[in-house]
Amino acid sequence: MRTVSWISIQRLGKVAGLLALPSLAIGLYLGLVWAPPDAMMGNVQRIMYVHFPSWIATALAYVTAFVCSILYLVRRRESYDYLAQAGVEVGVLFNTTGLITGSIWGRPTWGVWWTWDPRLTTTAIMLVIFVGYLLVRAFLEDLDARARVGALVAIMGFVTLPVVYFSVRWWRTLHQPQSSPSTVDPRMVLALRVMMIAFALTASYLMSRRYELARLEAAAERAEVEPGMTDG
Amino acid sequence: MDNGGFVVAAYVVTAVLLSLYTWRLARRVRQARDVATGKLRGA
Repeated sequence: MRTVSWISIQRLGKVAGLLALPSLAIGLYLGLVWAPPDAMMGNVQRIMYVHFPSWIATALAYVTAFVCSILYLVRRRESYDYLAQAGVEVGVLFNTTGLITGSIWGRPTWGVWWTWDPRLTTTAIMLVIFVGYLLVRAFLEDLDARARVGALVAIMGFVTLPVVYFSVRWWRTLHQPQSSPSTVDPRMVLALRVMMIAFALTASYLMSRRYELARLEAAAERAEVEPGMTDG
Repeated sequence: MDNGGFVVAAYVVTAVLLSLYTWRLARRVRQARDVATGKLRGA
């Protein structure tokens, strides 16, 4: 059963990786060349085509980590812990690109690189919690304790995700609230959707590779602790 | 006002971070595979 799920993740990851490259190429063309500039912001609005997809990839990765952490605590299967690790690490990567591209977009539109606005602050807190997950795992030596504590931190960190999403509605904020596709030029919507799919595929590919790494590291650690034991 | 520099910066930073992580992850997987194979063979 474990072997079947591992092969499925590897296959899905390969397919996602193969589809990610053309999707990224098409999305970049649509976003940088084909879609029109924004009436108010001009060309700087094109940052949206990497900024927003970064958050889609972040959400996908953190949701994976959250679901797999719960499944690990309930079923105690190591493969769930491997996938949770993958979700957190890839989520931290896209969380970082989202924050940096947001900061670069903020400078010409808000006049500042950073402000302690509710959306930006909650996003930064989310990143700190998930970086904490990676640090906690690095410091704990016991395999089981590492997986259990990691799962609890991932579940705790996930609570910030809906707070981040609703922060623009709950509090007064510089960041714009969620906009409707019906109010945006259809070319912009298409470019954004293609980039969202491309980033989701990239995140899926990277998670499959990170899953493989976690599996290999655990197999090597087990071989060290219990000589003669192998992982299926 | 042309803010093209900010657009280029955002795309370049994203591309660099994603490429670096992908490259480093591939290297870590290769190294872990070598270590796991070596340890299992030695066990």
